[in-house]
Amino acid sequence: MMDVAIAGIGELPQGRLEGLTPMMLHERLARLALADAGLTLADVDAILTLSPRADPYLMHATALAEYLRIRPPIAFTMEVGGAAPAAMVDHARMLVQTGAARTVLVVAADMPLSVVSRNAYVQTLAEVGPVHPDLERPFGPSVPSMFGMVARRYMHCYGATDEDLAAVALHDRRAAASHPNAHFRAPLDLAQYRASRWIAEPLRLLDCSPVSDGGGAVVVTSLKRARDCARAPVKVLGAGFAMGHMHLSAAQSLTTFQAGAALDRALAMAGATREDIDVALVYDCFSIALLINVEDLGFAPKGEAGRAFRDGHFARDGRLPVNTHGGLLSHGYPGRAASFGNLVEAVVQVRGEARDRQVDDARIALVHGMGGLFATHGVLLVGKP
Amino acid sequence: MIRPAPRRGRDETPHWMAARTGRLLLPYCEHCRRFEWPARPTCAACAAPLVWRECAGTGTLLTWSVVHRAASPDWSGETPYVVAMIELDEGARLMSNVVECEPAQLACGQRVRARFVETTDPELGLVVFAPDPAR
Repeated sequence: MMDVAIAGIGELPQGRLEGLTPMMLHERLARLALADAGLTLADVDAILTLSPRADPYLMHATALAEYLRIRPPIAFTMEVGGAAPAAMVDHARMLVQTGAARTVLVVAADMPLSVVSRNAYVQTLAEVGPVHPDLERPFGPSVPSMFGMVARRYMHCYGATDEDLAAVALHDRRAAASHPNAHFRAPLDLAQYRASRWIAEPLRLLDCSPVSDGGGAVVVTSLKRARDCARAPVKVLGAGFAMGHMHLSAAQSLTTFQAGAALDRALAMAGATREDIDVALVYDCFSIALLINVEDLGFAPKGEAGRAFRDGHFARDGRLPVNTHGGLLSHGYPGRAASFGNLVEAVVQVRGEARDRQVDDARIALVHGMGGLFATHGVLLVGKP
Repeated sequence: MIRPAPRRGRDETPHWMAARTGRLLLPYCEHCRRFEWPARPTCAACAAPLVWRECAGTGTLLTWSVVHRAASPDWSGETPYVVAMIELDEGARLMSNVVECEPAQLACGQRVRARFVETTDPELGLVVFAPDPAR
């Protein structure tokens, strides 16, 4: 089958982006990714997007194409929660491999901070997000409290402590320190973590990702064509998906979920093993999510991820570098586009362009995204061709 | 504060109507001898029609979180409050609140007993839980 590659990427600083509209942000990211590849909007014959919370559309991809004054035959808006980057790139792969499209623009952006306001965004998440409108919402859960219940159960089952949660927040902040696009880069220590206020016990403010404006874009085309583009191509090696539930109250387990099943499927497609992965970008909307997801992916025994973070096993020079860009916790959480930072970082690492974040000889990178309360998982593997 | 009501016309509506009268009903398959929750009209395993069966109202606290920053203005006057997952003795798992408690005294596995609260819909109630003084 035809090999497929990411030929271009686009990212802007995550945080507060004053003076932009969501459509303007999409256009900037799209043009950055296309220019990176040495292509133009005229080359785009398929566009995949997510409907931003800050600018909801019934057919967002079509609205964006109209805004960009292009008429690609394929303009699809996808809905897979935080698993979107893997799903969108894998869908782009299929479009290219079947000949349905030659140049797929995958772009996702949201502006929950500047356009919606942080409070309104948090309320929206709790009311129409992963919280069930009848079975859960009448009891007043915030999204952090849903993750907080998972964290409490995890701490109970495995004897984990707030030091394990803190280890994630500190790890991400160290990684983000030198990232020019990261939302939060100021140094963080355990005392500052413990001094941050409760949001939903056992989670503190610094266990929660920020609400950011931002997003990212990638251009997907055939590997053959990508070799003629402006930058070194990064091959799409495999993707895998898995779901366990939609609402947390219907989850079979409160401490183990499906990230590993998604990775197994991606590895089977790529013909690779876990040992082949050089850097892992793992979804961490809350500190507890990173602990559980790296364990479920098979990178630490259950209950031991916190210690592994503390001992530096997931640092840039550790046995498996994780979230070298700072994760959602420090790089940023741009609403519906959350974890596009993971995708962009994977490409940057495989290209060898991550400067002082660079992992030595990064040949294969894992991008993990998660939708809802550990509900759905998407894993994408990209690497040197 | 009066709780926001669930929507009417859902598979779970008989549960909320019973809660208004102080009873905890869940859909039960008499063939498979198990509860279905979230509700369905038929058993997901054998497709038999489910019946509404009354539960004892006792269970254990699986996990909880103390909400300090409410998700919506409706709840901001209630903080701190406890959201929780309860496993009923009959096996079903419910999301709910733990009320009449000192949050610092809660523990995973603790025994709890159902309480019933009103909602903004005069015909629908909700099941919440309190630490079980009998245990």
